[in-house]
Amino acid sequence: MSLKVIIRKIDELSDATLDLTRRLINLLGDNLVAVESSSDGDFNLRIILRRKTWDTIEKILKTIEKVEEEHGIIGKIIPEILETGEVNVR
Amino acid sequence: MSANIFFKKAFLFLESAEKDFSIGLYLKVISSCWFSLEMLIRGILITRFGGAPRKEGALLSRFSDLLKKLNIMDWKSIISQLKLIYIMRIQVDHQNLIPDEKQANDILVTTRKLFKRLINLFNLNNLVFL
Repeated sequence: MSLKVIIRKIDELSDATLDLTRRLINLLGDNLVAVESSSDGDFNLRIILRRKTWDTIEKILKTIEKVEEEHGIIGKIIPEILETGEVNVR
Repeated sequence: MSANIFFKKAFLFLESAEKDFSIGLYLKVISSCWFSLEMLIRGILITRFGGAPRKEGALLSRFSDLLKKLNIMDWKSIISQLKLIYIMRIQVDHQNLIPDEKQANDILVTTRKLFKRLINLFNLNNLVFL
């Protein structure tokens, strides 16, 4: 299965996004479809999954929390968590 | 812009969340809980800075900066809980997940605690609609 990772702009969140992506691969495996940085709307990171559950969302948020803590950017990653059916993967 | 109207709306949304829960409208509980906290945060930021970011993501980020700057002991936990409620609200209002009674109850309980914590933290106990 392929994984799409897009960093649209190199900024203070780029390194954290890559670190997070590595952890999400370990956490979610084939369920992870794409991780894209985003500057539009209310979110700055889009995470696309094959199947989404409340449990998955909680696990992703906990992982984000750890990455934010380690990178000194608490509260800065605002993710939009979607299923493939909810979005056209660009 | 007056912060008082936002504080008033924060209380009204919390009241609405309580009523929605009592009649089993769990989708609405999650939305009302978030809106209640959003209004409270907007009011606090307006009081402090004269304005607040329109977008919710930027609002959370700005509020996180404020709590950190004020050296609030549990600021990380506050931000983490706010973010969880915000993400759940997005799932409920715009995406494909539906909360059950337990999730709605958990979010309502967390919202009540956060609400009380922020009211105390920013000395808002004297608001007339309390």
